[in-house]
Amino acid sequence: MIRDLFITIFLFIGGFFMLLAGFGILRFPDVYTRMHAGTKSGTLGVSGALIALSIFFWDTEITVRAMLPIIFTLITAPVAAHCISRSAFKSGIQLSQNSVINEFNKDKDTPSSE
Amino acid sequence: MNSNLFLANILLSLIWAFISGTLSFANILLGFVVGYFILFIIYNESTDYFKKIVQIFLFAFRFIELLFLSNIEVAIEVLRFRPKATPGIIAYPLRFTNPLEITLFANFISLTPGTLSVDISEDNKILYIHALFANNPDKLKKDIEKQLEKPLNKIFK
Repeated sequence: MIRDLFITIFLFIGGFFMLLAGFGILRFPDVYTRMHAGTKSGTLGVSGALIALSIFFWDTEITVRAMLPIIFTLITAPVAAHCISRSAFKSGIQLSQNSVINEFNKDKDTPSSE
Repeated sequence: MNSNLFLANILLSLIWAFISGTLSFANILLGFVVGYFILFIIYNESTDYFKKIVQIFLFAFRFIELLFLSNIEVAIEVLRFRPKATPGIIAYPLRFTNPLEITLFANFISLTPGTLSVDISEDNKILYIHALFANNPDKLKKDIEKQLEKPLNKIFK
């Protein structure tokens, strides 16, 4: 009974944040702010769903196997976001209109060459 | 010295698991805790391995908390009827020099509230961070330093 409750909570957290990530990607103004929604909510959504799964089966082997994707997502999601936003930056995509600060231009620092 | 102690700790936890007969994750974790205390009694507190393990665990919990906070922040911003985000890119001077440390630091920045690492300068000294709320860059930099850089610095040292 309590286990069901926990499964529900974790599934709800996972699904809710995944849904919000989708909304965020639609609503935010430029590629950089969209990456915010994509990375953070994505990792938490995956973690929530997988934790719910390991509670559902309540088995060590499955838990260990469910923990691995969480760790991999934690490692790879920021790297992917970094790559996307960096390549966007390199190809000269501007920040959205309501951005308040861009210290990159101010410092007159050349972007690292690739 | 540190890595030796860590290996010894892992070995003790495996021995614990084999002796008690069940090779489950929880049992290995219990063995790790027991081995930690054994090593703590043998070597005294002067080696910083013991402090470091505690710090890594503390940082892991803090990190989970930050991940939740960042999600809630993004969620609020997504659901707001009129978005009031003030995004911007700030230049953050790095204190780390080791590439691995910089990578980890950039990863943690991407996962904590309101920040996303965008680019790094050629001499690996300045990290460009995109922030969702950048109307107060100095406070933001101070927050990053307090929440991430100091604990990570302690762990890496």
